[in-house]
Amino acid sequence: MAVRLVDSVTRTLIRDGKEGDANALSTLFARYQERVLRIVRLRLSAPLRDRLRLQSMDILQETFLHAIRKLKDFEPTTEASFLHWLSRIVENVIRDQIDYSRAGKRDTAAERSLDQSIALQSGHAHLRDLIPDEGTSPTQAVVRKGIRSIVDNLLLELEESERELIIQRKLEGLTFGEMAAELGKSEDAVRKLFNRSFQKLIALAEKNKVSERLGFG
Amino acid sequence: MIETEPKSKAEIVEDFVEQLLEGGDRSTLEEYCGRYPSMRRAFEGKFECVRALEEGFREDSLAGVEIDDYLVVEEIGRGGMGVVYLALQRPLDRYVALKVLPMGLLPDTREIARFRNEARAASRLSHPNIVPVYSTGEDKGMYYIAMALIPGISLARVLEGLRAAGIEPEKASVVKDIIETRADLPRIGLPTGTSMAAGRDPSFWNQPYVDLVLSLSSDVSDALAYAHRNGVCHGDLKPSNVMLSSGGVPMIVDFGLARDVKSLVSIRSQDFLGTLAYASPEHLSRNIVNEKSDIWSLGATMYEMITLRQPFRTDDVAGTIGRIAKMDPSPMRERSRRVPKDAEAIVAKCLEKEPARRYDNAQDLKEDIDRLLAGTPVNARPIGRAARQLKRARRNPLASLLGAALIVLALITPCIMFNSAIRASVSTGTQYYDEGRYPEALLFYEKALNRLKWIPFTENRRAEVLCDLGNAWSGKGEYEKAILSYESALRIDPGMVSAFIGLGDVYFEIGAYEKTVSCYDKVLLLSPTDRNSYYQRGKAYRRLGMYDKALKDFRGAITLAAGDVDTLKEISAVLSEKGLSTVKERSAYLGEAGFTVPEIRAILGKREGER
Repeated sequence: MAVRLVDSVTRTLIRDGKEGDANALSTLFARYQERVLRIVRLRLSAPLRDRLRLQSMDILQETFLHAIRKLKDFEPTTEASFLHWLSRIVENVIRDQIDYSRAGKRDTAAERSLDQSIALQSGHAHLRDLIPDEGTSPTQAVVRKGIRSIVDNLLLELEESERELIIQRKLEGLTFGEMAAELGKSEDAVRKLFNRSFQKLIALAEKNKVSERLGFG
Repeated sequence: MIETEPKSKAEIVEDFVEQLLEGGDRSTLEEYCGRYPSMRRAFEGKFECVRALEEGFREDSLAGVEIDDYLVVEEIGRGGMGVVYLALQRPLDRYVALKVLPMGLLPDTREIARFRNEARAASRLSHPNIVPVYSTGEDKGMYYIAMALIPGISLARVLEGLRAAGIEPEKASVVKDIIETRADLPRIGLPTGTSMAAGRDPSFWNQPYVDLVLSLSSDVSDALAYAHRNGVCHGDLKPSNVMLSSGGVPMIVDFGLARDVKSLVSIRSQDFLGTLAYASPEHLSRNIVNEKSDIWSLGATMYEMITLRQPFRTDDVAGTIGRIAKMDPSPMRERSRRVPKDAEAIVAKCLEKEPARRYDNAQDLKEDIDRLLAGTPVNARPIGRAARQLKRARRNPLASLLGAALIVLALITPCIMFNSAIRASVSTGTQYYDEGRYPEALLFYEKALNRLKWIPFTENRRAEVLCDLGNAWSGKGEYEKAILSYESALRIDPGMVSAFIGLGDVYFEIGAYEKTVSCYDKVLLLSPTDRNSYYQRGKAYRRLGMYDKALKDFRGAITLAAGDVDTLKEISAVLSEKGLSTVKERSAYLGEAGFTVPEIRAILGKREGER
């Protein structure tokens, strides 16, 4: 098992980010914003979005705000561990937002204090500059984006627990061992659950004639 | 995989998908289709579906990252030799093709040293038909080559376009159409006026298609001749490594990188067949790469450009290897009468099995092609049907009588054995090993290794079995032999964690604790959350009297598995060896070493409990 390229890059960026290198932070977030945004979209269903009057991009920004504040306590080992960490923050941010909306108030003070904590941490850089806006990234190959949104629509048809397994394995990149530790199950059990979920996804894809639509096969 | 009872079709398909999800690829598909031929359609449907879904999960892993002066924009290609990105070279504000190599192994292995040398040699080449290398370097743990971005497409994509058209190309102009419709660069809005290569005059596109292929081949062999004169050979020439600029100029990429190809290409890799189809017999059988093998590869490329078919390709690895080794490709003129006899002769001379019978050098090849284009007699002699038969007979009289099909079968068989006999030997060996019957285990591992030796491209597999062999020697208590086995495994795969672990444990057994430490240093570098490795390294530090370091490692082990009894015992031992007797002294020392209060309590409590 070799050290993967992406892992060493991620570690370097996080280390530099912790030392206050704003450039490293913006690169780090620019790099993962697509993937994190995708996780947000898969978790923030349309009704929830309407109820919270929030867009996926808001959750993403909120997530990165929290991430920057907590980064100093985070020791990454692999890219997957970082993505998984971000993904847990996404989950918390969404839960917080639901709580706020139940309490009938939107707290903006917390956001402000976060802004300040960042200004302190990264010296001169202003937080909003660190987080790029949705859709401005030049990195998206149009074709792949199409495939992704088709796959995402299929994922949304799965049960939440099935979807989470696929998110952890395919988007965060966790190993079965890591997933097993997280879920408190045996590795073999997690592998079986994942396979079953993925088989279901394949069945959905076949029903929707996905491979023909994408020009595979 | 032993099947105990017959399975329903649905279960078989389910098993197949499971294999795919565990990292299976096209070879898995072939394996299942071979086993259950009637279910091919079902397998293929699932395979394409999984492929589409996987594509939907794939990420541009480096987009947005800065690598030295270069800002990575997006992935533009991917192959056995690494991933190619479109990148912006900031100081000069120009776009480049940035090839990033998957060599994130250990620093300073021989592999990397060789890569550096080759890249340096390639960057000195300056020829109109070689893609210029701007710079090479290392940043953020990656090795990269920045080269000119050629507006155009590779010959592999030209071939795709020609095959998609489904008709035999007559005029060179079809290639121009393909370049214009398939080139990617305008899509990403690049300044295309910055073409490196000069254009051709309009008559170039009016010549017959075969003449176009010949004239491109002449340019490519000129570039090869130049590189060979400068001591660099290509080693992996194939259509995907020849760019055709929008101006119609062929340019070779990836010079001199490919000698690593064998270590990079594993049997499971999807690119494997792609690389294999152009490899010369001596490259496959003896790992020889030189100017003669480049000439072979160019010959195979010319054959494919002219006929739109690869000369030796079959659907599986074993069959392709067999054809390359023993079979002459079917004559191009059988496919198209438009192919001049002399062109047939030139390509056949490139594809001679015996290197000595090929052109002496790329310059001779170029001159022969030019003679053909100019309408003067060529040096290569056309081979008639009778001569071909004779040639085959000379090479292998018996086989010639039995017919070519049988030869291929004979050659495929040993490779298939890899799947059954070798796998069986290894798993029998492992069974014995698990039962503690080391001499028997050794026997079976040796048997597997002996077989693997004869099959190309199985180095990684060999490394694994060598590591198993090391474990068996170690179990038997023959540490010197164990060390030799592990070291051989590491020579093949310098990042093999299990070999480092085995080696570290053997060194521990013979009291070479410094060496144990350095082995586990490597393991932890490669796999930083391996609890047992912290524990083992801590034990070695303890034997060396380096108590602080030992404690630090045990702390690592405890963090990864709280309350592990063995680790707690070791910590206790360190404390008494350090001469700390009172609970107060001990907890103060543990506190200094960074243990948390609950951990200290657990450690001290354990010690009390043991008494």
